[in-house]
Amino acid sequence: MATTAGPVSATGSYNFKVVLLGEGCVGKTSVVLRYVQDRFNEKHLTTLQASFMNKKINLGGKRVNLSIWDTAGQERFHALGPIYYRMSNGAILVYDITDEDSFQKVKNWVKELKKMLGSEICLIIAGNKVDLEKQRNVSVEDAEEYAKSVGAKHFHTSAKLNQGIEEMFLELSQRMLERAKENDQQKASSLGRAGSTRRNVVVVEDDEEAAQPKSGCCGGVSTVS
Amino acid sequence: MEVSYDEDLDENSFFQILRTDYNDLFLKAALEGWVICVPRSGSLPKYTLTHEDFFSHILIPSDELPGSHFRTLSDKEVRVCNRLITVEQNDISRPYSTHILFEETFYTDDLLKYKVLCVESPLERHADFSCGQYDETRILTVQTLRDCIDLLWTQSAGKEVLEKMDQAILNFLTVNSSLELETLQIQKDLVGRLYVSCLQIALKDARLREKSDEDKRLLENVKLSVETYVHHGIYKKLIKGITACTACDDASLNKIVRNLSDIQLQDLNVRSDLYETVPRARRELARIEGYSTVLGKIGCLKRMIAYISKPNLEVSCSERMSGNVIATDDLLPVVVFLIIKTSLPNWIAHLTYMRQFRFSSCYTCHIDEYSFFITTLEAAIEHIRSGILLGPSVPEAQYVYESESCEDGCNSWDMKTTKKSKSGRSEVVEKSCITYFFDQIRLGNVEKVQEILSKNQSSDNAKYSDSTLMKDNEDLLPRLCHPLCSCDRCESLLHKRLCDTSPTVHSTDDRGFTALHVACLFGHPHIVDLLLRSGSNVDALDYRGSTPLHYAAAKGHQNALLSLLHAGATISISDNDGNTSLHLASNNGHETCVKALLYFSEQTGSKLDANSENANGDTPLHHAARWGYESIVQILLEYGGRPDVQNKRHLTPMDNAHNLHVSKLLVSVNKTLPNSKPVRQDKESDNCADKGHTDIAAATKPPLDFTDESTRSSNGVMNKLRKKQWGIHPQSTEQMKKVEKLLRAIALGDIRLACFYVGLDGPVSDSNDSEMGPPSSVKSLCHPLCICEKCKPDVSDVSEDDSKLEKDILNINICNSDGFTPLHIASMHGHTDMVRLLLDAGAWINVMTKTRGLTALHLACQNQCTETAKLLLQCGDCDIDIQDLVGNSALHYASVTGNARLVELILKHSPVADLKNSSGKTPLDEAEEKMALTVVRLLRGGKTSPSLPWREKKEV
Repeated sequence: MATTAGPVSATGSYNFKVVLLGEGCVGKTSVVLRYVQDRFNEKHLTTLQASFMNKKINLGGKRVNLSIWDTAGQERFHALGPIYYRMSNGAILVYDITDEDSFQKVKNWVKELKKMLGSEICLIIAGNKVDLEKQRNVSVEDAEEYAKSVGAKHFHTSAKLNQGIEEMFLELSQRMLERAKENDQQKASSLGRAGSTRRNVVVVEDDEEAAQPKSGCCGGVSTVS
Repeated sequence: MEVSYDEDLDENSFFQILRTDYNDLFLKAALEGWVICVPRSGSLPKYTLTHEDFFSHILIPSDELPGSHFRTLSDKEVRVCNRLITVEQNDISRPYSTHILFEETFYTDDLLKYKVLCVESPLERHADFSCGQYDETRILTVQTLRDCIDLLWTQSAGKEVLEKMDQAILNFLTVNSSLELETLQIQKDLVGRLYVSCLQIALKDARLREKSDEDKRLLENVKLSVETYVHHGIYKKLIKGITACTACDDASLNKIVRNLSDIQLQDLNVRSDLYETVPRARRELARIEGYSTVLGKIGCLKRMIAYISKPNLEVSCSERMSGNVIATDDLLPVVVFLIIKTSLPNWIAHLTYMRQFRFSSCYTCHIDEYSFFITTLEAAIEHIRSGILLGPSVPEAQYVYESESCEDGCNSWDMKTTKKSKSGRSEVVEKSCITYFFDQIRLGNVEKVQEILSKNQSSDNAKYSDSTLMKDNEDLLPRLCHPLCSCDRCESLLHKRLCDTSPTVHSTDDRGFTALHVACLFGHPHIVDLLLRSGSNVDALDYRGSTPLHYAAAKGHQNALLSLLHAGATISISDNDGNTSLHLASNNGHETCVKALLYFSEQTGSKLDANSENANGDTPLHHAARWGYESIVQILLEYGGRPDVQNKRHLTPMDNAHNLHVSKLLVSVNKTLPNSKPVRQDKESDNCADKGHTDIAAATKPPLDFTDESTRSSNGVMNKLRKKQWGIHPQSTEQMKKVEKLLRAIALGDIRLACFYVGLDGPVSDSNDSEMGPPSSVKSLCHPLCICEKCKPDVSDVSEDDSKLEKDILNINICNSDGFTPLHIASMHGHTDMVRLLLDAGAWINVMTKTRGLTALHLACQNQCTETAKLLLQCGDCDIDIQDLVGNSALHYASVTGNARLVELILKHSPVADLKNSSGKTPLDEAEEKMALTVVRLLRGGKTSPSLPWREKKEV
């Protein structure tokens, strides 16, 4: 299993895992739903399983496949967090701008993520429900300042009005791409050293004609593009 | 059907041409936010594309419903619904539809954004576009084991690859015969190596290599198929090994799950609109054990989650409230519930299998949809394991909340008292209410309970005698105007006392619970003591026929249990399901309670049968073995639990054991155990053949991804139908030689040598007494654990047996080439002791020899071994009327010999006396022919027609 690293699928696109964290009722699910299906939690005919969703985007020729994982927000499931966020490339921490508590929760999550995953993970903090601006309980300055202090980007979103959500995912994807490329270069420079446990990214050249490795245990050839 | 198809659209020829040759059109579409449809590669017609083709693939969203209604540039109506794209035709022909494979949003560097839909086939139907082309380039996805085999078969040159892989797997299994004893990592490495070598085999196939070089997706599928095929080949062994590694975790999970077994959906706060989805999902999840491959198991999980997310369409049409989106918060509780209700004894082993043994897709392993399913399962299991579902150990935390709800309960409970005292004292009502009383017990509030009890004791007495009434009223006196006053206020005060319905130790609630039940359920030893002192009925039954002892045992409250036992609780009462307290404690994994019950019964000599069967025929040992509680299995075995009792599904605890340690324990005891009780011997013969090997339930029912359900159910029927007609044939020539040696030893009457061959521990004097008694090997010891001089030899025998290589031991029902089993030979030579030993060890009594179809009884009669015949006939299973190949029954043979004692003996067991052999003769004819007069007289029995009375007698 020499070069098994990298979230690259058979067709040469990046696969990123994105987790949504935040207290229950802050609208995590609505955010994903709005992004992936462009719909808001209204009356629909069919039920929809929204715990796991896929979204394909193409950033200037780079194919990115986002696997968006919803996590359990209820307090009773708190201990299950690590099971969900392990191996993720990005995390979106959602809070409800009308609910100070949920912002505190976000801070706790950030602490936990930094502790468990280090700085490898790209963080985005989203103040959701800006359509309820009148009932705001978390001040914009506080939130943005905090986000800056932990190296996260802050977004104001509203799943209901479809505000800021696409931008947020776009930004996250770009960050993850950059991070992946950096890792890749690092890896290329320090090739041969015993692999770190972190996720590394290998870019597969699209028009790859080189011979497949005989063992066939991995479909990619690691070349930096 | 959702298909996870993916391709790089930049390489798609349609998309390339659009962007180069029709760049203006493309830019226009991108700028306007129109949707571009791209037929997947390989689905395009062969001729060159015209601008018409591109026009028909660009969709303009309608103003009203931009998400679902479009017009193409060639001006056709297009609707998108549920991943299906439908094009209305301008003429009257049927609308044309095709699947959307995926959607990709493009962001260019100059901040242009547009959406592309990859569709399965072009939106425009062309006359020359025959359907045949589809099939050739059909989208390949493997989802089941069958798909995998199909793929490997059709894409390669034929069966050759599969055969070679079979060979490799077989090789692997023989080389790594002790795979299940390795650690998980070693297992994983070994299996990983097998996977790689099988993949090499597959890719050595020229056709397969060529094709997969062209098509990367095919390569992925080949990898997955090879992996799945390997999984299937080694599953039986592998899952044993994993289960052995996770045995400890599984047992602790089982304990928690067992104790939660009566949990309801409401308890988990499952969203009520998901209730209806639970049965289907539960049925699906129950199948997970039957799938042998990771792919199959994941498919099962996927369907389960799909069932939860998509309720029955008929039902869901009725309008549902908002929130029809299933988020993880909604999903998890349902999965938790399903896991608890699906009684799979080795969940963690299955989870480990799914997580650790996916080799084919290592880089996406942790983020794809499959891993989401596994993660969901893992999270749910982890949630159960954390133990928070069991609730806080100290229930005081719920006090405030509960006492509020209690008040409601009170009011509805006793209308009479509430009405009366509505005016003033709600406090009294509260105290009189049984719910309140039980709540105090639940919370372990000793003083309150005492208070209530003392109060009602006095009022209890009050009902019986006036004098006590007066005495009791003494404390009321100061509050009365005058001791004899009868004003309204004083009257009501006195009256209330009389009508007070405060609960006693005998009061029951709607479930028939007494106070003692509640106290035992929540395990407060002080209150149990208090209640017992106050005269509670220690063996009170509730609506399920359970005594307080049952609850204490089921919940694992050892202190309460001991209090009950000392207060004289009947230890052997079984509830409506036939469960004794020992069953419940064993099932729920409460080792301390199992110990307490067994020790106590031993000390006091009260009767507690370790082998009592419940309504399903399960003994406590069945439960303990199934859930993998090793220590409990050990205790039960020490106290005479038999590992060979069959339940109603014909499974012994040994069959029930999923975990290697437990089954070893059981098998080792079983081998040393002389069977005093003939066990229902209708198990599959090949199953018995390798009884020497550790027999694990998983192994006895070979699971196959797609035929599993049917084979399993038919297995049960087969078991019942199959009668033991022949002995077991030796597997190898070496074994054959050994069989001959064994039979010679038996013929010579060398019991010790014979015992050595079949792995028995020699003749035991008292082995043929009572059927229910504890096994004699244990009985003959001072104590199960005793190692005094007298007991030592036996014990050392056991360990020696243990260490003996299991495969060296011959099965007791093994036969030589003529079909003679040890029992035949022993009966033939009249070695009664040997026969007894063999029968006790589970030898099949009605086995026939091959050449002449003789049973042991025939042989004993033929050779006039009366004692042996007597012994054989005493055994309940013995079929006295079996006729051999020439139609002779045992009575025929006995009659021929003219041995009157023998004939008399047989007649005692009421045979059919007028069976005719192939020459048309009855036993009577035979005897007359031989001029054996005593026998003739016996057979005539003083009557002219001897046949009927015997037959009738038997039937009565």
